[in-house]
Amino acid sequence: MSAEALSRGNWLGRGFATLGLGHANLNLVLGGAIILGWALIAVFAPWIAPYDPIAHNLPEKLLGPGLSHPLGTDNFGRDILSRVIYGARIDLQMGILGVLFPFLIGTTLGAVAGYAGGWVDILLMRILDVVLAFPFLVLMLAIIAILQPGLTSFYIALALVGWVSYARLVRAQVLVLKTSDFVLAARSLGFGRLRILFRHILPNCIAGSIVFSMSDVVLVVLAGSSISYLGLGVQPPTAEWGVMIAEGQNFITTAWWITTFPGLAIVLMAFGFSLLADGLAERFGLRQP
Amino acid sequence: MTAAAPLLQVRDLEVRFRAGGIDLPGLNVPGFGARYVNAVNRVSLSVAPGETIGIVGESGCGKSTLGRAILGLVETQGGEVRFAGDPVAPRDRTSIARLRARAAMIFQDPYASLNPKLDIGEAIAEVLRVHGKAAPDAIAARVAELLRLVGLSPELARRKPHQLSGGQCQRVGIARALAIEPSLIIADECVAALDVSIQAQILNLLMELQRRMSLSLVFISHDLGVVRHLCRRVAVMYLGRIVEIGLTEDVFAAPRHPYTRALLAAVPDIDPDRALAPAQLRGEPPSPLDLPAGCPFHPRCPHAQEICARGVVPELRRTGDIRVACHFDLPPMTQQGEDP
Amino acid sequence: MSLLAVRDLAIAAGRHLLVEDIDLDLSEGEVLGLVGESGSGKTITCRALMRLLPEGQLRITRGSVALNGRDLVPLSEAAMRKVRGVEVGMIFQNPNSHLDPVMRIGDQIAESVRYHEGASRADARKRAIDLLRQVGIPDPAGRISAFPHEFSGGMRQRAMIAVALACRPRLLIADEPTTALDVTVQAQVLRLLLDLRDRLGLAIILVTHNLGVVAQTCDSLAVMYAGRVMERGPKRDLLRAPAHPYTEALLKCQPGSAAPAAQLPAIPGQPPLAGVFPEGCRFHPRCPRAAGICRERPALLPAGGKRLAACHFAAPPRAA
Repeated sequence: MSAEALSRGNWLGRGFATLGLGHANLNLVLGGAIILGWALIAVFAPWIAPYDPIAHNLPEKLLGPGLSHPLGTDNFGRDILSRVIYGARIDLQMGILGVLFPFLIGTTLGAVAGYAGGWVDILLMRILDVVLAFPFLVLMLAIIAILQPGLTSFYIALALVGWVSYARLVRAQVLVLKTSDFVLAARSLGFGRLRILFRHILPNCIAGSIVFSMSDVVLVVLAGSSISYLGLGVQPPTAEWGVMIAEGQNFITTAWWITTFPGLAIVLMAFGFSLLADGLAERFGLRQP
Repeated sequence: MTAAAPLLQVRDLEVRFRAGGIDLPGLNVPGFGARYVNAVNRVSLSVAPGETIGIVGESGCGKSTLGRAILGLVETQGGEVRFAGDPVAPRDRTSIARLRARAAMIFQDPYASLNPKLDIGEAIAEVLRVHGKAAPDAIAARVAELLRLVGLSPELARRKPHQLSGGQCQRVGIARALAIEPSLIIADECVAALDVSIQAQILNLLMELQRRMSLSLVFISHDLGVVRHLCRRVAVMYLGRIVEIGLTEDVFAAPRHPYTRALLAAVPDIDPDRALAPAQLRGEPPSPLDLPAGCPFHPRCPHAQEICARGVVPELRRTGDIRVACHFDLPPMTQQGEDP
Repeated sequence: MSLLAVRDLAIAAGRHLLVEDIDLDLSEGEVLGLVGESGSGKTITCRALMRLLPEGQLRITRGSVALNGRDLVPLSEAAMRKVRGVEVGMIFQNPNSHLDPVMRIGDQIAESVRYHEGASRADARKRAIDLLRQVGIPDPAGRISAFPHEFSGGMRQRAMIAVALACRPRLLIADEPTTALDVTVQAQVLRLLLDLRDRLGLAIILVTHNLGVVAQTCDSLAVMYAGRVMERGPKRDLLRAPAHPYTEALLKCQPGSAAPAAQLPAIPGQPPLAGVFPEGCRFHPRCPRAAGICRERPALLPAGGKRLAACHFAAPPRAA
């Protein structure tokens, strides 16, 4: 390491180096490829989508998969393929942002609760118990209903509900690491509490949370789709996979392609994140390959 | 005692840990109230600048807790620690910070005491940054200098702890302690986990550094041979108390406390012509949760009399050059322990 | 005839030889100290004697382990089960991880008696009480129904010895049995091992890194370094006048053997990692007497008296 990097304490860089592909890891490579594929589709949607995802084209409504519309059209004549492609933008964003906020909030709160102990810990853990006492979707729906249906409300609700898993995970790890020798050593060297917590404890317990967040993405995408399906998330006519399934349900017997392809898209994205979670777990040594 | 003003003064230090039970003031129901372990029980000692003192005793005697309590790493329930004349108040963050800027600790497990995610250069650099011991552009050079000082190649700076051997990691631990330019080092069983040949290297390093930098060293160990080699003075602890303290040569030549005698007799000598000593002590130390009344050593003591079991804990008192916590002046030892 | 004769034993992990050229002899009532630093191969050697190497990772590639004249290396797993516990007992450093925490002490002793000898419940119980008495546990009839956590560290080590001796083996392999114990308790356990040797004629292999323990308990010694025996022979010869520079260096760097506060004659460098040993004499990179010839492997040869040393400079021995 260069002297400059050494003095800057380039630990983030080291964190990413740990993520790097030192050894071939099939789960990581395959999962990464799937997610990268979806990301590319999302970014280049306007160029690769053959049709406008929103514009109605009633003469071509309810066409089955064919040459002009590879995945068919819906009851307004919109091209399913184009809508699935544009839907990737919303669903990927939902998956990532919907996990990022709970991850950051939960990790911070859990770490602080575990490290501070005492009344801070008791207070946070009781709040956590209250949140956990309600079924996840019911609480989400209640919060969204109060705020007003829409994607922003969805993120706020997720942040308010989703942090608990991360908080519990991180707190348990912090409690273990708090009494470890190297933390004692750091204290003996006169390091401040924030430095010890964020520099010495967190980097050593974050791996589990990162792995969990990957499988959490799957749940969030499914929750987002369910909530959109219930009409409280993404609003029509925006192309979102959950919305598409909701709209197609009346035609399930006559035009199966309206619901099937967005459903497959959800499954494929979830599959990608699942593989990524397994790969990362292997990578971090949390699980034997 | 030394004439120079002591660098470290510990007076009547007490550390209690709660061991189960409910901690409610006023609660006095048998079986429900909090139970406490008196890990360190009214311990007093002082260390002169440049002096080495050994703290010996068996596991559970409170020697490690004492070392941690001195640095404010565990809460204390009574007594006082003074460093360079200034009191160190457990609740006063600035006094603790001042202490930790001049006193460092070396730990037993060389791997576990280093952050596994940081390379060793960074582990040392961080100390320099936090304590402002080097300008940002001089840190890398200082890290290299410290690594060389403890006999490691500066090229190792990029390695992670798990890529080093135990001895190398312990050298890193020492380099990190030296990074704050301490005047006191507390070494807690710092060679116990190392092989004999490596142990000798680390002991040599400690002795050399101590001479060159006139460090004070509190050397906590269960290994009497190592303490005898390294330390000018020695304190023997049993169940949280110091039972004997004095110059190492005096204590080893003519131990006064029956526990010290038994401890010394039990150390296997590498002299092949000396047969295994008959075990002097029966049994094992009692649970610190349930200390016997009177002298805590009396249930195992071959010289115990009625007075030892009654309520008074013997205080440290001076006999000759040694201070010893025993009611009796035992006659000099007859068969073993005498140095040939 | 000696009780145990190990010849030319070699153990490998994959293509790496971890231990080789091991020759050991042990007769009834003898205590053999197997000394070495971590990574010297002393523990895996002991496991190999019991054929307890982790399957698929380590295997015996060469040599023989003759117990009472019968080679154990080619024995089937079923035949080995009749050797383990019956002819050879083994105790370990940490009784906490080698006693079953949810099984009563008495049952752990009785289990082996009932399994190997088909003894009745009552007989096995009688044997358990007797064994606990032999290893110096007070009130043995009361303590057989105790769980390991109800015992102190020293008592647990005694209980583990009782378990190992349940079927009256002739040989006990003790792998660092006192390393985790306090020195006053260590003295008690060593005393117990010697008493058992005297009373039962037990032969003991005592694995340790502590030369003091060796000096006070063993009859003969084998010093291992980097997977090979460097020197072996009667204890007094080795400790008084070591023929091998490694044994000599090991003795000199003990804190007790130098003047207080003097620099210890430490052995420079690090022991090599297991499996990546230097060519020739494995100690030569750290040896003060190393010369060109040390690039060739020295054989374990007589070096005066009853002792054998693997050093080109070992013979003839210097006077004590």
